[in-house]
Amino acid sequence: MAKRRRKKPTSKEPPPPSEVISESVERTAERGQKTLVVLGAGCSLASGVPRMRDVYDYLYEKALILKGSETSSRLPADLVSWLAPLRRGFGHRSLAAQSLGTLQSANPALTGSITDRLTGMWSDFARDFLSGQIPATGDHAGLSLLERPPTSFHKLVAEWICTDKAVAVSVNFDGLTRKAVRERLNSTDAKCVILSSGAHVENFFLRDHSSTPLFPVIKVWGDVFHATCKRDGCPEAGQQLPVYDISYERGDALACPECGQPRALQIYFPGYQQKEQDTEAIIDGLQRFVWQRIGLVIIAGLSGVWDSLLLRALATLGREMQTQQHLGNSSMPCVHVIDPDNSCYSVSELRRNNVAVMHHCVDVQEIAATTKPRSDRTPQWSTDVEFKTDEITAEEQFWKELWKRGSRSGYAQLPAGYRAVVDHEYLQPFRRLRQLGLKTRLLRREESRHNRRAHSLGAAHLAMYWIPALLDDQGSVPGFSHTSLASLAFLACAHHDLGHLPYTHLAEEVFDELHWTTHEWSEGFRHDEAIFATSFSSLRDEATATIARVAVELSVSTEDVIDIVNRAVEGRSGIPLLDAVVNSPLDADKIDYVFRDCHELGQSVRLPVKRRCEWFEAFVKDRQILLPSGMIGISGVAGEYARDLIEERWWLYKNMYLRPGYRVVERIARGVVMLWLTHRVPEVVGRRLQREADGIGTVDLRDVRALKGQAARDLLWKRLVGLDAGGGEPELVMALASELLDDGNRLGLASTCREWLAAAQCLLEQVFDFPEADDGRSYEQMVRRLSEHATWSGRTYVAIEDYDTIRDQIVRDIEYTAAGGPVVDIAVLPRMLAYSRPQGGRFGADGGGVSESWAVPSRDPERWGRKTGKWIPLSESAYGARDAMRWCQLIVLSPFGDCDPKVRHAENRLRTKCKEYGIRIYEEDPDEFWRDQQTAAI
Amino acid sequence: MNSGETSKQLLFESEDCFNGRSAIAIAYDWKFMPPGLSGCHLLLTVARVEGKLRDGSALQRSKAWLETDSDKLVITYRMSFPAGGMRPAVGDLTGNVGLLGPHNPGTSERSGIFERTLSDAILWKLSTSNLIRSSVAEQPIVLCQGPLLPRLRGRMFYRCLMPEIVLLFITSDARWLQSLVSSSGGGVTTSQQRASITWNGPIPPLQVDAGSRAFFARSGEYCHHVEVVANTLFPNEEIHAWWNNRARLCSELFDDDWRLDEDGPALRSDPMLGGLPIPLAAAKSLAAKRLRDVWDFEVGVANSYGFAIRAAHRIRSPAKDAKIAAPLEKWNQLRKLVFPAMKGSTIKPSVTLDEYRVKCVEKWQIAEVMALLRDFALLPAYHE
Repeated sequence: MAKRRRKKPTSKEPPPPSEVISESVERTAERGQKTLVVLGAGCSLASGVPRMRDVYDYLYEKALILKGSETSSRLPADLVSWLAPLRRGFGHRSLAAQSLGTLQSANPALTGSITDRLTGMWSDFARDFLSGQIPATGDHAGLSLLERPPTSFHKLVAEWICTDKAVAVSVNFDGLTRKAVRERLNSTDAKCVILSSGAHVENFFLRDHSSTPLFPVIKVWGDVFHATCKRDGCPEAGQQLPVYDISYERGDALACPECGQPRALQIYFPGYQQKEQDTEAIIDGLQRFVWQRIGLVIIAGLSGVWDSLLLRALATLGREMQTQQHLGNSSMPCVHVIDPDNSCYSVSELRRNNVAVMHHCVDVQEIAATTKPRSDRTPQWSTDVEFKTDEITAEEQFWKELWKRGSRSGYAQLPAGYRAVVDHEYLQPFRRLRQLGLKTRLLRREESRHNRRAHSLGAAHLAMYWIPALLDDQGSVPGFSHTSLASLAFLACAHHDLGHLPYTHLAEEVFDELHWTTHEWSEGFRHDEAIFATSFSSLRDEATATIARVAVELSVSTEDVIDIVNRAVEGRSGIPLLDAVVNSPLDADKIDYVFRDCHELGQSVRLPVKRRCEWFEAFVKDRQILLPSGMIGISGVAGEYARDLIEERWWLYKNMYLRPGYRVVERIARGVVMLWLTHRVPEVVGRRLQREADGIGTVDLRDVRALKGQAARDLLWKRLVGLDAGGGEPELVMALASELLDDGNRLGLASTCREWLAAAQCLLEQVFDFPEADDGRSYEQMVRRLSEHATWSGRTYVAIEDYDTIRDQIVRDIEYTAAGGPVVDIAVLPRMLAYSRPQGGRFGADGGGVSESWAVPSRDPERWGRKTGKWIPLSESAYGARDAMRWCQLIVLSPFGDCDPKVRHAENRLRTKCKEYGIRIYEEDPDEFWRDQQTAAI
Repeated sequence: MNSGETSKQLLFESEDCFNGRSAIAIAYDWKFMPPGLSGCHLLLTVARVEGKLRDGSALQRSKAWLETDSDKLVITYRMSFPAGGMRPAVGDLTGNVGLLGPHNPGTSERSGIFERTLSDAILWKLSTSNLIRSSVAEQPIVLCQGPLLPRLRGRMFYRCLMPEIVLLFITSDARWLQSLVSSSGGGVTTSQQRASITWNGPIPPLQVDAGSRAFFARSGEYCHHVEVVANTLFPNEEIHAWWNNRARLCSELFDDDWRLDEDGPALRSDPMLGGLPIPLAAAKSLAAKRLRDVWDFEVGVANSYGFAIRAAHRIRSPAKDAKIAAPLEKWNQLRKLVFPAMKGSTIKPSVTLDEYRVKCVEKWQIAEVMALLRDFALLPAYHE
């Protein structure tokens, strides 16, 4: 007999689903993120837990009997007709509401016998349901509901939960996930808890020190059965007890523990207003505390037909993850659905919402049977690297002093990569980016020390001190050694500005205006997004090479270090502590630049600029607590200092960065840069595409915004780097203006526009070169000089919600239909609590989004110095509420002196158009106005 | 003063305004790929025709234009949209006149992406034109297939182009005329006699702020609509003269005398002309032709490719199977054509569609590859 040759699996064949799932979970954990496992009813089928379809089937049979014996009422016949489609797995939700509502609380207006029979039918159902008499598929049918053992998939999920790889969200009523976790934790002190409301989620993540570790299972209510005592006067009356919490110690499981009366079983299903509200609260909690830690979503056994809120939230999360993953050039979808149904609703719904989903058409138990938890893998970040403790190579005195203080406390260790990063030659082009942009020149500050490189290294030094100091006696972050965490924080802070373009925030305004970005399909340009994928190539190559060396020191792969540094800079590393230090309202970046700017400006209101080390040491060491959830709780001195920092930053914006003199110069420079880019970029891109077309005939286009943004980035950087030594952004803008003027004819620039450019060039030359004032009043002197060459209106303000209309409908119309005329500067006051972009949707007081990593003892910042015994998220403090009432500052300006009459004309047009659009213009600082209004109201 | 009177006043004086000036015409065409084909969602071609205007208002092809390979003035863009989601609504788009709103809210984002790309492609074409660079003194007339897309208008304004560069966006579709007429409330003079075309405009009137104004006319079966990019705040003394010039240009553009001398008859016989000025009609024709070529190739390869790969998988020992010798020979021909540098004779089914496309772009290759693929698609039948 001829031997049948066994077909060998080829490399082309896809790996089995269990391998894909298992590998994805492990990789996600290795990257410092967690997997979100959403468990639907399909996960419990093998355990014999009835589905809702089985419940309807049972009730249908009973209703048929009732219909046959009860002829005095039409209700049984109606019940049969309502339940008939539901038992077959379809039927509108209103049918379920009608039938279950009728059974649970039979209308007292009905005549006697039918009410009693309906009530009796529901009581029978409750008894049979709990004792496992409802026919269901599965191995353990017949056992009472709470005796059902968890399935192998539950056990697999429990393993992931207990090894800190996953967070479970369940929509089931059976409590099997908790049971599986408890079985897994059998001999340890750790506990598993179910979080079934928004308050539970918040309390869990803001809990204070606890001696035993807690593992959560989060319930987003699907169809849930509760037992409720309805006896008047009983203390348990009205209390809803989920079925998985019913005690079987007494004979009658449904008997009320207080009064002994049988409790009624009630179903709590989508469509109930209370349920929808509860679901929203839980999802809100998930978004605040869980979403930003998630790197992978597994949806198992969930059809999703009645879980629209949950699916919508998952779709938002999936899209965010997808965008980030796309930036990281990963092709594997980050949402997996395990469901044997080929036309699974959740899959089609997620895809309809632009989420790439990998659908595994297999039973969840099949996945569990072939998946082996990979306990053999050692967490790669847990290795303690031996760090050097020799002398710091510091350029600034402050760093040396900080190092000495750390040495005394015993945690001054140089993180991996320190030498390479602080090397004088490293990231040299960053020295040309002044910390305050053009303002650094206008303020006559020392540009060699007030630049982005010095600031980045300053922030890195703070992070290098901060992490070991905080973790010194406060436990650890699971899966990460102190040294690897300190190294990651150091690297992230050192590179956090890598994505900046020349003119930093001014360039962001240009990109925002032109809808350009440096990465495809992102919402818009953000300098802190995917820095290693989108930064200027030579900077990126240098940084990548350095990180490759650090990765060798840390014994991990370069890709993993880059990935986690990227995400930390975005504020979504998955490790709240790292996010808090690298990108949060109180991060090392803000501490460094607020102190640095105060020092350079010689002005500060709340911060002791000359005692920066003492301040920082006290801030980190005095009552800064690592909460069990990984967030940082601040009270005492740390709380007061945090408040001072937030206030100081706010003060700097309102009184320094947005001063009219600076804004006028910056707006004119912005005009020059934008005009240059809008001429150069189409040329460069057009020629490049033409070259491609010459070679291959067709050109692949993806996101044209990114195509232009990347061209603009490269053009600006190349020009800046090509300047003479010491040259910076002021010299570059002058060069760009000259080039435009020289090339004006060829570029087809309007004569009015060329006049504007010439005036702008003259103005910039004058303000960049004026001598420093002897009395230190440089700003006033600069403004005097400026007023000779420019005309500008007074400051007016509009509320932040009018920003889009003002920019898109009004200012554009004024500026671009009159080339060479006055322009309007719109400066947005930033948020007091500058959160990073959250993963998984926009929410928060002003719709701007938060990702919680800080907790404070009170909503009132004045009470942050006290200990109140509870924690609230920082975003819910009074500062968060104030952020909802931000404003934009408007100035109409022109580079022509002699009180250019066109400015008055443009200002009038602005006011008229605002009136047309119903936008209120405030003549004074709206903060004062709103405060007066509140006072008057009181 | 109503728009009709304005127009008469503006058109009062007629001079030869084309003499010696350059003309650039930019036109485009696009096609949506059927879902599931090759990952590309949309093919867009943008063509540019350049020429010089002779005495007597005739367009003469410049020497440079005659010597240039026409393909190089046409670029085909393959566009793919982000994963998932819907493609732009086809019903809202027409290849002849541009984008027609309002878009379906579900597809507005994607339609926005498309409009941005189209606007950028036009801008790139304009930026890379040597004619516009060299003609400093005699600013060229730029004719674009219209209407003036809002996003393209934004791009034009950002560039602050000098008023002397004549930017005209031209359509010949009744829908645009209808919308203009209904919005302005003005009447349109209809005439069967081409010689007696009556132009209306500008709309809106000069008293109203607007970034661009339109002129329109109906002549026989054709409706002409010209959108003129303009700044609103010209100094008062220039504004009437400026609009006067533009109105006269519109009038002369559609004059029969304004044509190519050498290739005129050939172009005039092209059904794509549609009453458009000759340079623009030529550009449109070029874009449409190129699109047809690429479209045929893309769809053909996408349809045949699956068969080819499946067949290649089934072949165990091709040398011993006489039935498949002929198609295999063709397969090898195809491979040599597509991958001339590839060594070895083993069939490699891992060739991607993009690799084919990259290698097979020249027209003759497209035709040959298409023929081979059609033959090769029969291979499964041989093998069975």
